[in-house]
Amino acid sequence: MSVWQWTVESLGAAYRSKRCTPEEITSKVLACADEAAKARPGHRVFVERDDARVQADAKASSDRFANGTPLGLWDGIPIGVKDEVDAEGLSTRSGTTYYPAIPAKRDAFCVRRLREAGAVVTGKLHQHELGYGATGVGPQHPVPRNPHDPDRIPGGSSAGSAVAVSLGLTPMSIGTDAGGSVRIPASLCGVYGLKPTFGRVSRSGDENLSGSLGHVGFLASSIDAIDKALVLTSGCDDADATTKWAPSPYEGRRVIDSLRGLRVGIDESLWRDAEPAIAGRCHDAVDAFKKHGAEVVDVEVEHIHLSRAVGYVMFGAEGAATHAKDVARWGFQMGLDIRAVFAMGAHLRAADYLHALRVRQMIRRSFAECLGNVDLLVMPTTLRTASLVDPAAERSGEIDDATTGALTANTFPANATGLPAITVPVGNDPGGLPVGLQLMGAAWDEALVLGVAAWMERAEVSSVLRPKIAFDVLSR
Amino acid sequence: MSRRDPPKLSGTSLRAAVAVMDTPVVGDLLFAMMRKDMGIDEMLAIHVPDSIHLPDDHAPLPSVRKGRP
Repeated sequence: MSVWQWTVESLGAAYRSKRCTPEEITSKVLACADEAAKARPGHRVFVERDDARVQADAKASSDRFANGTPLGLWDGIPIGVKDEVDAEGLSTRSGTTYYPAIPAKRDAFCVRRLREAGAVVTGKLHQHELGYGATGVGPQHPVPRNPHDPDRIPGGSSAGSAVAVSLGLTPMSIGTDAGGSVRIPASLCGVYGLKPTFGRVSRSGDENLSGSLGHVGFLASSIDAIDKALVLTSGCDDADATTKWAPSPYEGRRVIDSLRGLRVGIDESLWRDAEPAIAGRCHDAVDAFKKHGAEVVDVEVEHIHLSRAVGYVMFGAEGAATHAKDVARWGFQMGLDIRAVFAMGAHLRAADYLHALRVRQMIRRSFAECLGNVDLLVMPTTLRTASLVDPAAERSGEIDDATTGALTANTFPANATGLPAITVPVGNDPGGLPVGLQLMGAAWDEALVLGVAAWMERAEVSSVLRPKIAFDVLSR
Repeated sequence: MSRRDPPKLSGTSLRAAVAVMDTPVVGDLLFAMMRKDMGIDEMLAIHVPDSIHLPDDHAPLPSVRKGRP
């Protein structure tokens, strides 16, 4: 049973039983989004919408249901798309106000697959500027506040993607993740968030993801939604050569009734700096694994502590190269954090980058070896729950490296290695803020990662309190 | 500010710092600070065995399962 009433599955059932139509639901979603944006402090998740197109797509879906010819699970489901991912007719400004507002001529690969299946793209979602930040806060747009506490950050960079799901506006959103940008906001907002294996989902239609760390990912109110989205959007795309690496297509999660035989690894170095309440909730989940038959073993992943530094070098150097022209043209409008990352990247020597690539290879070997002995590695997704929004960061850019470090320390390894990782909500801290447990699996083994996550959902090992602000669109 | 609060650059002064970041001397100094804070210096000082070559691509490395059910 999901902790959320509002899921892709429940909505599809409501359409099939004629309890409501996609047109009615989509109208409510847009109205609720407007209401959330007007709150003070606000939750303005959309940076651009085309309501006429949304209503037209919803009407087409309603007609299919009325004619008895729905396209399947995704027909009429409202979804949101991170700003940097192309959606036809909407501009791709990557969380900036300086990129020109030119409507995209076509959908990104992942958006196209979902739209062809009937999903209704409700709009482009807020993100941390250019995707280079873990808080979602910066000078470009007002940050959509965390639904569990409007004084706090949503996390980033896929901030709007997480807040839209947490508020109950969309049961699934598309995000991207180059250092934790799906998993961090999902964890801080108390929803599920998957970063698949590098190469599993085509990155075509997102120019920000041209480097070696970036992935398309999904945030949702149920594991089944993520599972079905991955089935739909994975596979070969001639426009992204990395999609040809997968040894076999993704065909869906494993159905796991018992954890007997499952070996779960814990590297203590990834737990010791977590806030006590986070470590406590995550240990409760691990205890549930043991109670249901899993074997939990201590492991040591060699060189893991270097993942974040490797990530910064890749992130900085690849970002500086990708955005060199943007810095020359719009650098004076960029947040300070973005300028600092690109300036650092531009200062790196080629020899440093190549050294970091070899250290990265050592880390990748360590993980591959470790995951030969255990099925999953588990750890807190973030070392802190959502922090307060810093007004200085809203004005000038996020410069609190301690916060960024605590949010990204455990997420960077999955980007450095390309391994699949999901965050699962496992409760709240004493202040009511959500806590996430991260499951990392072997390359291409999303079936197991999602299978165990679905078991957690069903066994109610996964839990989260209802956000202070949330819309039950189905009941309105 | 209490003694336990570390000094924090204001947005204005950081903006000034970023403005000169690309200049040779100041930029190098600031970059050196950032490298240290982010653990990059430590990572760059790590000895990498000769057996670790530059990867041909970024394809994830597979794991070989060892005799488990």
